[in-house]
Amino acid sequence: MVKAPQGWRRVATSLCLVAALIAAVLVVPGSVRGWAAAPTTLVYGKSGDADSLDSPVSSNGEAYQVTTQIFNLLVRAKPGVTDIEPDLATSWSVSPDGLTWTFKLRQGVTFHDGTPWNAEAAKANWDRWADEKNPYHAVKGGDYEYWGDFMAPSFQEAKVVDPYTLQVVLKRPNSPMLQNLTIIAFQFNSPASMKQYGGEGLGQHPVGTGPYKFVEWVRDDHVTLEANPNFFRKGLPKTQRLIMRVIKDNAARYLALKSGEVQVIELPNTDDVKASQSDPNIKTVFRPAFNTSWIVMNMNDPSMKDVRVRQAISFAINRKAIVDAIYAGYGEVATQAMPPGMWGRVANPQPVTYDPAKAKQLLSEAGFPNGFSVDFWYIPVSRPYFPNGKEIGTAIASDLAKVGIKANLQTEDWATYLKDQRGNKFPMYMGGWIGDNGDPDDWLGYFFPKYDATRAGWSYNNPAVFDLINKAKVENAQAKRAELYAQAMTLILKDYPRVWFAHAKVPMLARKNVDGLIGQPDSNEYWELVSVK
Amino acid sequence: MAGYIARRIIALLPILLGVSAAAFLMIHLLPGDPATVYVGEHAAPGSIERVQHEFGLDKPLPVQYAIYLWNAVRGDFGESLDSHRKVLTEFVPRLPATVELTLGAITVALCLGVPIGIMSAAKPNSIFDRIGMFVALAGVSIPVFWLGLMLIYVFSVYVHVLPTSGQLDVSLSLTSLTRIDVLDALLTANWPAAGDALRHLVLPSITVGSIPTAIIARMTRASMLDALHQDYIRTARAKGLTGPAVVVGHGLRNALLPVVTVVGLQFGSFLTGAILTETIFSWPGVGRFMYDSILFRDYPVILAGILLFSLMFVLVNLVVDVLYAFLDPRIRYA
Repeated sequence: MVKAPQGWRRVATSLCLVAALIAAVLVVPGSVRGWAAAPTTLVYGKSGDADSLDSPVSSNGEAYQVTTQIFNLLVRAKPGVTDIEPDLATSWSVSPDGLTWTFKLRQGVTFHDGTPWNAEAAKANWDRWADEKNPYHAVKGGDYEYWGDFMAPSFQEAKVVDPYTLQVVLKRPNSPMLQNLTIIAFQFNSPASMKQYGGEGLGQHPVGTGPYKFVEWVRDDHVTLEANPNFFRKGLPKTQRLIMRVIKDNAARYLALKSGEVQVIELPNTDDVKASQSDPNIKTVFRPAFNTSWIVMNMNDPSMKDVRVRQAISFAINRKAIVDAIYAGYGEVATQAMPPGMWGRVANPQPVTYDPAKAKQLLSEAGFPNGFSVDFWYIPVSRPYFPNGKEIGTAIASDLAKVGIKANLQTEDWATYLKDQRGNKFPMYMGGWIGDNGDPDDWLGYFFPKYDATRAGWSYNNPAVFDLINKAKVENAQAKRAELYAQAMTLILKDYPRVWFAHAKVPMLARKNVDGLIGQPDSNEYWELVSVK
Repeated sequence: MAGYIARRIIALLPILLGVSAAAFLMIHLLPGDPATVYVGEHAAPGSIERVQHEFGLDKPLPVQYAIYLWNAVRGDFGESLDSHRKVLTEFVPRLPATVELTLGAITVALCLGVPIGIMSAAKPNSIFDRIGMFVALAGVSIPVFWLGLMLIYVFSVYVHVLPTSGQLDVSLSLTSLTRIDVLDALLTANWPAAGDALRHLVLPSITVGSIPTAIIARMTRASMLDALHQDYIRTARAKGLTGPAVVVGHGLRNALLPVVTVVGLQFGSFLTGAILTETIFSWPGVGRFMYDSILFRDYPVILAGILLFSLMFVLVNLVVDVLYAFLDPRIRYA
């Protein structure tokens, strides 16, 4: 063939030289300076980008993680729990009729642009949320969802009593209000920034009173925040600069943590959590279980009308075995709708029992001695409460098969799944909930508000339950409310409208030198408390 | 030649019209609608209908298409349902990042693919050839997302010489001129940023370039083998020319034409590869934006993206056709 050793040697030598040059360019600077940020900077790898930094008009959890650092609320959840602590209000009281709430506001606080925080500033925000004619209200695509759900039906007006006293007057009592105000959707924007940027501009120009000031937001890439030297909680924040980087791929986010490019990540893959347990540089921090997964049995469907059938399904599924096997050790079997730590739970619910023999007997009594066949829809995405929908769905179907119920596993993409679960298409499906705040109304009030013949999720019809939940909504005393919710849940448990499945703690991974990180039930950690050693 | 190019550009219009109609129809045939995703799991009653109305999704499909087309002709591709910003405003800042990645990937594909092909053809069935063709087979067989993660694991986590993701270290600042970071850094003589941007570019470029590298290597090899058996090669050798002079000087020039075609056709691979690669490497380009938009059912963005990708694809093929004339003087376009 071709014989020209001299020429080819020259080509090979040149190629080697080029390769060596490239390697030198890549390796040498890399060894000189690493990619890990300076110690005064904390880089957090999050799973998605914000849509807007104006939380009242957004219901996006990714945005809330950012705005929690820039803004404050009247009251907020304490670190690690949902109990309330003062924020921009130092104390509050409610009139005996539950219609007038009076908030004493914190003094000496200024927004990042120097505007003073006072009752006028607070009222300017309430007016913006409530009044559609307010010049700063309309934001294209923004829908004030939390305001609409939690405040609008009861709100009448916000009044300035004196420079540091704000009164919120209601048309009818709204007992969950204080708890609802801990959602960052009720953040206070600087009134001067409203004037400067208009309602539309607030999403890109957030000006609050929080521990960090906004520096820049490169969409789909990162948000940079700088410590607010005038923050009212003295000594905080503990890091000078907070960078929230968007790394959407779970595996890539984990690798960025391993390489030291980011110091904390959220939502790692289950396998990566296991692997990191043997990594001396990484530790696991948990967000408390603030979620519940369940299987809805659509009582509008003829096959699910008989309580004995629903009971049989509940007895047939070995929830403990599935949770132990699939939740990587951070799940626990649910006995009722609300997760531990919530008030208003049933104190001693029926224990969850796995009893296939009893399930078979119940099916026989219900007229299905040979079982039956049902379409069972499993959740197509990973959620904290169902980390692996397909695997869990398969395990459930296998348990059901043992008592004669042939569950045909089905799924569809998430957008379609969300749409169809609001109709009657699914006779039996997997669903779940992540809490918005620490109020039972956010759970029971949403799942069991009424009966709806066109909607699987609201196919349970028990007026006594609806009545108790509605009473709890307007009752002032928390102890009484707790009792009403527990009574409602006791009734629900007897009727088996759902199989309550699991609550799961949500792992975050952090480098060992990260200190003070406390997982928050609603995923909006207080980064002001975190330092890098 | 000028007439030919003009005719090809005019022919773009019906192509884009057809693409837009097909894409519009297909997107709307997908089950699930953006309003449902928009309101999410915690939707209040009636909010889906309200959002549908606001986005104009409650109008009949032909009406929606007509409105879309009329606006598109005037340069308005609508607003993203996710960010509520103009689609063009969303695309323009992201496009340079994808162009940078594509250029990086083309460089990798050509710098690796062509030499591997030449070496393999020059010494068929030798150890070079076998290794080269094994690399080519691996290139087409390894899934892009897996290769990306493995490269990150080896070079970022294990050896720690390259960054895992992003386009530029967040602590570095750079004056934006073209928004192609490597170029901007070089133009502004910002050497630390240039080095950092280059390092960020390496792994994604190799990932996107893996499949095209393999195909170009195989194509070059086949085309070269054919060329090396031609009479003029024998003549060149008979005249006393040796090794590289024959293979590169006479063989490669004649073998290049099919390779250029393949590079053009592989442009589609660069774009589809970019969708996965940009997601893994958090590369702030058009590909990752498209991926998110598809999950979100962000119709205006998906449509504009498909149109943009089609336009780029057609234009690249036009460039390839024009290049033919330069590479082979016998080809003339009337």
